[in-house]
Amino acid sequence: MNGTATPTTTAIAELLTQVITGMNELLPNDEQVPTGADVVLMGEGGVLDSLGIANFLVALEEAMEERFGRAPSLSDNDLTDLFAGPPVTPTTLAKHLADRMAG
Amino acid sequence: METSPIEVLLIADHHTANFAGILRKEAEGAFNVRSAPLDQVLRSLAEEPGEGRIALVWTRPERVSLAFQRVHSLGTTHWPEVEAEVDAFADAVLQAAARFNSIHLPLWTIDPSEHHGPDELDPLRGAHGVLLRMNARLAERLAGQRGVHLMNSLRWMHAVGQQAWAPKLWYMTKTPFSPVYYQQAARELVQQHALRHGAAIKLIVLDLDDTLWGGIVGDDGWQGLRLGGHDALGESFADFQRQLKALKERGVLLAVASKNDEAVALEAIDNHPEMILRRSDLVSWRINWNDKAGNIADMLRELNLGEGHTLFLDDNPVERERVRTFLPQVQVPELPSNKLLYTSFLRALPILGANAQTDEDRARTALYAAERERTEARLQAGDVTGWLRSLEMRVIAQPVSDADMPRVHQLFTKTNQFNLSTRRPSHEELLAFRDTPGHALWCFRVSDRFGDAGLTGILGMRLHTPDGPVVTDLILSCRVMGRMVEETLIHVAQRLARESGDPRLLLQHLPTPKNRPILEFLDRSVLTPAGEGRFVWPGGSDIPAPDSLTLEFPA
Repeated sequence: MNGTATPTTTAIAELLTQVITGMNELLPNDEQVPTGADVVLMGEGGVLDSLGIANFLVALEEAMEERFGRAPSLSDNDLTDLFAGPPVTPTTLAKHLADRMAG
Repeated sequence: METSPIEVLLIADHHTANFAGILRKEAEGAFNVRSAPLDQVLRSLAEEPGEGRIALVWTRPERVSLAFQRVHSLGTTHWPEVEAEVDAFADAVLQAAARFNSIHLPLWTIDPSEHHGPDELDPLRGAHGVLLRMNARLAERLAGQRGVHLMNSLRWMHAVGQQAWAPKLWYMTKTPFSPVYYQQAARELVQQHALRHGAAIKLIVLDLDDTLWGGIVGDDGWQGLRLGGHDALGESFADFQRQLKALKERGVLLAVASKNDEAVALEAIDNHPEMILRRSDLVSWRINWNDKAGNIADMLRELNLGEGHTLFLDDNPVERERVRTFLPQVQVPELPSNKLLYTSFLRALPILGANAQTDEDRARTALYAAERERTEARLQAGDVTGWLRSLEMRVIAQPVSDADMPRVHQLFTKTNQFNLSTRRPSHEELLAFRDTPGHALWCFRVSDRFGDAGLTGILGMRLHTPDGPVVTDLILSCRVMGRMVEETLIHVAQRLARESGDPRLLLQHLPTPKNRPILEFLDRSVLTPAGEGRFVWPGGSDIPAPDSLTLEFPA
């Protein structure tokens, strides 16, 4: 399915979980990122610090490129308002990204 | 083995938080990881406390050398300027090396996919050429410096390819490399540390048929084996043996465990003209039809070696699985199914990456061969006392000199079984201990009519304490255990105590999972148990030296 999958909300949500799991495989126990669909990753009360957000966005961009053959640019401040705005969970982020990919 | 985590200080000209987390994960509790202030490399090298710490100094070539930055971006430089900047950096590292337990420096890299024109490898003005020269200059300046280790970052780059570099993370967080690249670096640092602190492979146990040569010697006869000659498979087996021989020269012991007729297999080892490894290269062998795992366990008892220091190579997956199950600490890698890949596989095993550091390491096979002769003499002599006398043992006791320090430090670092406290001091801490007034640090060289075991014993003492003279360190290599050298060390300890004005002795045994043999010795020694691992000599008389050996104190 490399590069050919359709970027539906469900497919992106699944990919988000895989990206976080992949990050966690490299991290010690006390730095693990929770993987629940409603975990607040970014925005107010988010579990990721600025370095974690950068790591997450870069990894997500690469994973989307590999899975869907294209990816919205995430690491060049496109999501600035998401960082500072309302809480972002895998569920809300998947929907946001699916909308952007469809648009 | 470390008893408590060692602190690793990351000194870098870039953000190290990603690497720090990955290193903590890979070290599994063995490292406390701390980052020095960002981009203050020279200041950190000059000022950060180093005692008991490892430093990882990770710099980028364009940050160390402004002259290199010019060649990297503009294609113009003046080599003497680059060299002067590399030398200034090397000087700072060398000064810091006196404080830190060890300093590790990844080789400088730029993205190898960068194109810098037709002269890019020119050592005077090409970015790639100048970088090669910078690394060579740094290696030259740091060569032979104890505790300073360059790390081969090119290997990490080879492992992860284009994923090594993280240009997006660089601009977002000043992190130049990707997490998977950092994982390679972290694994190597952890492995290097473990290898230098007792986890090195000491013994490789080898199968014969289709492992050391191609074919089945029992069926094909030694004349029919594929080994050497103008034959791809034969050449690959000869190269595999050459690589094993090189490891033997570096102090790794080789043994054979093979299901074969012993006479037939030994005939092949002795007579095949293309054999690189001969019987004299083997420290032991079990060639029979018994269970291979049982045979290996038997050899480990014979050689007094632990499972954890042993590597088993066998083409047969059933035998590999059997050994993994029966001897779980023995390292049993999956040999490639294609035998042409054996040599490259062996060369890439990181656990074999430690170099021999002492004459004792390099002579190890001969030492064990002498031990085999001793055992045979013991069987012939019958009684233990007669056997010990027949060995004509000689023990030389003397204070530790500067020249003895590498071997003494190695014994402190690697000895587990006969080790009173299992403390793991740094080279500098040992020197400081030795040179402190009222302290004694002695070493013992052991030889007999079969050979010279070299520097194999250590005695450390604090002679003036409120409890009287205290033995802080009592260490003996397993290769001379059980031959009254233990008793000799106790005799010398009490002699030093008496000469210091107080004939008493106090020893405190600090238990570890591996140092029960020294406790068993203390329990049966002339010392009196005083509870909680303490043993004393009350001082009413002197402890005699064993009469089965000659003890010498050179002037």
